[in-house]
Amino acid sequence: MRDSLGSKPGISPKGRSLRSRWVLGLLAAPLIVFLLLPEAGLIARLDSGALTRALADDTLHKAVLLSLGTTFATLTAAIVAGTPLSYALAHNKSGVWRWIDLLVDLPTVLPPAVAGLGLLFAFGRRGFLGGALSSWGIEIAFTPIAVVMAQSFVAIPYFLRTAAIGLAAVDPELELAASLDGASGRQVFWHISLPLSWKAFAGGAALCWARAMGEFGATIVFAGNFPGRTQTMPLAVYLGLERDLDVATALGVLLLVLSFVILFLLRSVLRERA
Amino acid sequence: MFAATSLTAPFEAGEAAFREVFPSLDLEFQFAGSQQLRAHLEEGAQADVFALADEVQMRAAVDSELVQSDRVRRLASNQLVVVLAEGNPAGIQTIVDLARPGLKLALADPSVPIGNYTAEFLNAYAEGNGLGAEFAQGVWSNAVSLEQNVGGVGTKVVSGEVDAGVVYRTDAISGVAAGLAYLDAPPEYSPPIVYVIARLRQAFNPSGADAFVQWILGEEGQAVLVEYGFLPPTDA
Repeated sequence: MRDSLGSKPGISPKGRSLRSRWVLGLLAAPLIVFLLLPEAGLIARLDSGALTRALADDTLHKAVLLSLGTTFATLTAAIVAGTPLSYALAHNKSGVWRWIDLLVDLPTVLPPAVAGLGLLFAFGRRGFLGGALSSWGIEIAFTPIAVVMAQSFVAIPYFLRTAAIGLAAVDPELELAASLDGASGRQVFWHISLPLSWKAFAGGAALCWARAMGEFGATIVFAGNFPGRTQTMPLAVYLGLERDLDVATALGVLLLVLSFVILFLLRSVLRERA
Repeated sequence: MFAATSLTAPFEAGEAAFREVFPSLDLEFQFAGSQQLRAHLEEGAQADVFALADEVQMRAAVDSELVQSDRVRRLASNQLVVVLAEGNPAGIQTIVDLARPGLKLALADPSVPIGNYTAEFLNAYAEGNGLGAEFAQGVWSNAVSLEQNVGGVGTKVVSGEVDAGVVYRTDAISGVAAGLAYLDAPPEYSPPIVYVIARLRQAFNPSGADAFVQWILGEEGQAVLVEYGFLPPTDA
């Protein structure tokens, strides 16, 4: 394997250096520009007066706190409940697991507002599970728990998919060797599978968190919009559009900066661990 | 054509009738909240006709030179109603009941038109009936969600997740909450809700835009609006 790759003529590291790097850069540029221009547009439109007004706004503080709290709850749920499931998905490819593998992707194709309706029909006070909960005095809809559930529903599948791909890429012979040497299933997971698929877990967690942070449609339908209770940053931005475009823009930029910082920190921590 | 969300049903229904008269004109609608539509237009969105649920927004559109002031016409009027969840689980009988603690209401945020009308109505109702400021406060504190448009209010009442919500009469007659029982907001306390329509300055097809405006203000167009629960335009 190694020999055949290394001896191929014409693709020595030196030969493809400068020219192909230029070509690659040119091919990549349109998408980079496309993906970054809207952010640049938001920042260019930023009005310092509006930013001051937005920063002084009490509903913004509530929205930021709520967004941080609920997205970290979602991330925790993804890691705690999602890790076993992604392990199961990575190691079972037959029978019912093939179907489960397909079905856990469904929330990612549902329009978020429809996902919110589904949550309402399942967990709302007239929903088939929510009805029972409601009779015990537990009401989920329109609470911060509903926000976490909406985020979890749309975002955790990203964690599952990414983590499962990482776990499936671990050489099964390594896992087999470890268990032949007497390691328990748990030891195999913690000392072989997880360290080898760490990057995928980290990537899945970042993706899941980012998706949860931007969640809008499922949240507004299932959790409603109430400052301090269910109004996350994306909801506050959307309502801001009805109220004051400049403040909405400022809020959007704040959301962007906050997300960038957290993703950056997440990346650097994870890179160190990897 | 940019139109307020509450005009969705009559405009879509009116399209067929309109095209019988003007077969060459194809109508394309974009429905959203009045302020959002105005923001879109100010950001360069293209449209021919602008129909709003709010005269204030139209004045703002005139100020930002989207619309010529002498082109603005009154299209129809609307009223507020309190729509009740199926079976009226909370046993709401009168407007006063809305302030009863423990109720779950869906109201619109006061920054959007329907929410602003709701606030005006509750205040006027309290004043007219000697209920004091606690009444409106009590009603607002029963809100589990401050929705961003009337569709959000209606959906939450229809799903039965809340006991009641304040929507337009049109929503209860033909719209999202059709079929549910409702209480009329007494007209003497209801703020005037005036729909206005105008051709936009930047219209691609000015004569087509005028044709639609004339048709919807005419007998046939008005009949469609009434069918969907609108009331004839009031005089200024």
